[in-house]
Amino acid sequence: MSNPRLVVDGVFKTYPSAEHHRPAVPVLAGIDFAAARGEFIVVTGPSGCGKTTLIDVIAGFLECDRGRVLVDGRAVTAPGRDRVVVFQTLALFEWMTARDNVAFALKAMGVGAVERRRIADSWLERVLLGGFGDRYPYELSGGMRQRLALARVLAAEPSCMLLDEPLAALDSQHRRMMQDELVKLWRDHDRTIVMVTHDLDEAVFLADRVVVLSERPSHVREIVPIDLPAAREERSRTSPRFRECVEHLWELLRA
Amino acid sequence: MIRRAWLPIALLAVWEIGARLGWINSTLLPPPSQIATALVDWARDGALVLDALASVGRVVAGFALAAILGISVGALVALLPVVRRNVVPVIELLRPIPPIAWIPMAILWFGIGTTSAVFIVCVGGFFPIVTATMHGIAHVRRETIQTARSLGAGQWLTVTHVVLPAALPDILSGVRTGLGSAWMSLIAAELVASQSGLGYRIQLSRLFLRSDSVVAGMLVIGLLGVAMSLGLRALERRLTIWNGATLGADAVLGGRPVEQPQAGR
Ligand SMILES: Nc1ncnc2c1ncn2[C@@H]1O[C@H](COP(=O)(O)OP(=O)(O)OP(=O)(O)O)[C@@H](O)[C@H]1O
Ligand SMILES: [Mg+2]
Repeated sequence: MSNPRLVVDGVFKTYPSAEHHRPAVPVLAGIDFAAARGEFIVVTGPSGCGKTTLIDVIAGFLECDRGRVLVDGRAVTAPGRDRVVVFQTLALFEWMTARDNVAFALKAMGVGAVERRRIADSWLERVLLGGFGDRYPYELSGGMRQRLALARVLAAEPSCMLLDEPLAALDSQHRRMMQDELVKLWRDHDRTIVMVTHDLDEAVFLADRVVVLSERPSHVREIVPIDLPAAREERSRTSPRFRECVEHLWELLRA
Repeated sequence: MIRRAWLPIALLAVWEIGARLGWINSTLLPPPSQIATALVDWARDGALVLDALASVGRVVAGFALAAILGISVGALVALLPVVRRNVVPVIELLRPIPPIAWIPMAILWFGIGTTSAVFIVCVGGFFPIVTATMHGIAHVRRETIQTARSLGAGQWLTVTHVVLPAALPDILSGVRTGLGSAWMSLIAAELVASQSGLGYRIQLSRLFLRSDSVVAGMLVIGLLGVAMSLGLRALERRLTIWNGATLGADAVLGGRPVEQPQAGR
């Protein structure tokens, strides 16, 4: 990788203990990986191993104790529009219409009102929320809220998207639909994605490479390249190679 | 209508009859008809409107001041640790002092009159509002704020477009509590530190042993309080239509009963 977009370089993080008599919690113990432009990286690992912590560090919400994170060669010191996060809870702005949610990043950039509206509406169209610009989030279904959260991030045109189990709350049918959606949107836009998931089928379906973390304090157990054709389709889910990849990840996690 | 209001109507009837038959001392508790007459007399010479205007004017002024101060101080306290460390102890110390206990100082500082009353109203309204604002902002979800930051919002945009609106339902409920407290404080202040207004009027009526006028005044105070509270609630609904997901307690006791499966069929 000559010019990686995202570099996670020897990241350590220990949470200080809240009370003196309890020991501090070492969570990340030297995480290294890099992601190329337009690459889809999935991070998985045992529950509580530090995946969310890692996302927080990359996003710039949390300072690591040692190591660094580089985006396009620049060290991360604070949150920024080049690395937008989607949380599992979505954290939609409930007091804004769907359109204003999507236009928020544009407003932060100082884009004028007319232009904001135009761009936001075009993103709403893309995630099939065309007629819903004036609705508030509470008026949308679970899946629509998910797509709204996605449109809100995409409108920020981030070079990296950080997704922390964004589909975990969905039923399996819905989840597969959103996975397809993610593949499409991401392939059109050539942006690097780091996504946390516990669902190994989802990992293999989406990822170029899967970063498997160990138990806490965690390090990278293995980085598994998924050598399936880049253009994933529904039928790749049943191919023997797909199953093999899922099994391999499962072995790694149990090890 | 009559079916829903049967209890108050029955009570009024018993009260009226009791007073006419002499079971109730009508100097201490005048019958409804006498109160109604007092109310009409009061309204007829225009004094009712003047008294009500004086009181409502004071409550509006003092309460607006309380809302502005309460929301700004609450926001600063919640957002800035430096302010929090220094100001919260002061607020906690002053909060338990009833607004009425400020009246002697108010008279000393501002004399008897409107300024004193407005000051007492402001004290009464301030504490519920400042508390609700502090808590409302402190409870905005971390992820909501982080999302805004990662979408590129600076601090100002985050506060004005994310933190404050997210805390708005809490702030507004504090504002409603504050209005009730402000209104009560005002009437108390007018009893002793004023030469006009509804509180002054009932105090004056007592001096003339006109208990019917006293009760009429109390009635008007209650009605105006309800009216202001309803107005504020309408405003609150309008400002937080987006909060449609919260059905509130209506979902517990209202709505349709739970069906019990039929046993043995
Ligand atoms: N703010 C915090 N203070 C102290 N310890 C924390 C804090 N946040 C997380 N931890 C601890 O750090 C460890 C990793 O937490 P983290 O949320 O990163 O795990 P995760 O891999 O995302 O887990 P999951 O898969 O269940 O979401 C856990 O043991 C947790 O108890
Ligand atoms: Mg997590």
